[in-house]
Amino acid sequence: MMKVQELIRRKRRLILMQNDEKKKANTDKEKSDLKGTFISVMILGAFLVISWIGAFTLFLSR
Amino acid sequence: MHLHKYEKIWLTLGISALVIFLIVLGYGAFYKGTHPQSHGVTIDPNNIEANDAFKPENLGLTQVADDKYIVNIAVSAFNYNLGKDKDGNVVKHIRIPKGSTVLFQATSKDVVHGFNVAGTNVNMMVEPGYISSLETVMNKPGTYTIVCNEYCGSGHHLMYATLEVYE
Repeated sequence: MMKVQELIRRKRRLILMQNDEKKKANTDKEKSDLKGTFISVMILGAFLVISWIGAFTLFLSR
Repeated sequence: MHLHKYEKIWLTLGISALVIFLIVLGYGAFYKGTHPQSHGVTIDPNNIEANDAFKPENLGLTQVADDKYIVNIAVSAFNYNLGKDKDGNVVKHIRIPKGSTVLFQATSKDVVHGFNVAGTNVNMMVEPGYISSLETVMNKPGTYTIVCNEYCGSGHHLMYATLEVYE
């Protein structure tokens, strides 16, 4: 009987530990690193701005 | 809603670009009166002479004020009709003094043609049934070729005239 209770207690502790790990993973996701995405977005933005200025300058100069 | 700091930056940039472009577009259209070259001014393609601008004597270059000119062009396969000179010769070359404001008006008698003064912003589609018009200031001296840039048939490449801007 004692052995069964001990087993149940261990099992509960294991579940709790797993839950803790899941929570940790979730908070990691929220603090996700967007530095690479940000740089890519800025590069794309710079390309758009440069090509727009180029076309507009060509329009004004002709 | 939680937004990442970087997301706020790129959303702000994207939305402001949209707003700026809409303001530029609205300013050009409503304040400066910019419109597509062909904007719903119609004409009967089988009887373009009924319109004053395309009467044979009004074709080609006409001076309307000191530095204002009108160029009327009847376009057909494969020719730009710029009228005839005093001696009755067909005009293929027009001369405009530098700095003049020129209004180009063109219409087609048959199929869709192009009217492009190569190297300038004068570039429009010429459609049968519509009058295409574009006003511009010719500031750069030189000789420009007027070409058709809409494929209009077997003589498409033979369709041209020249425009000279002189000092």
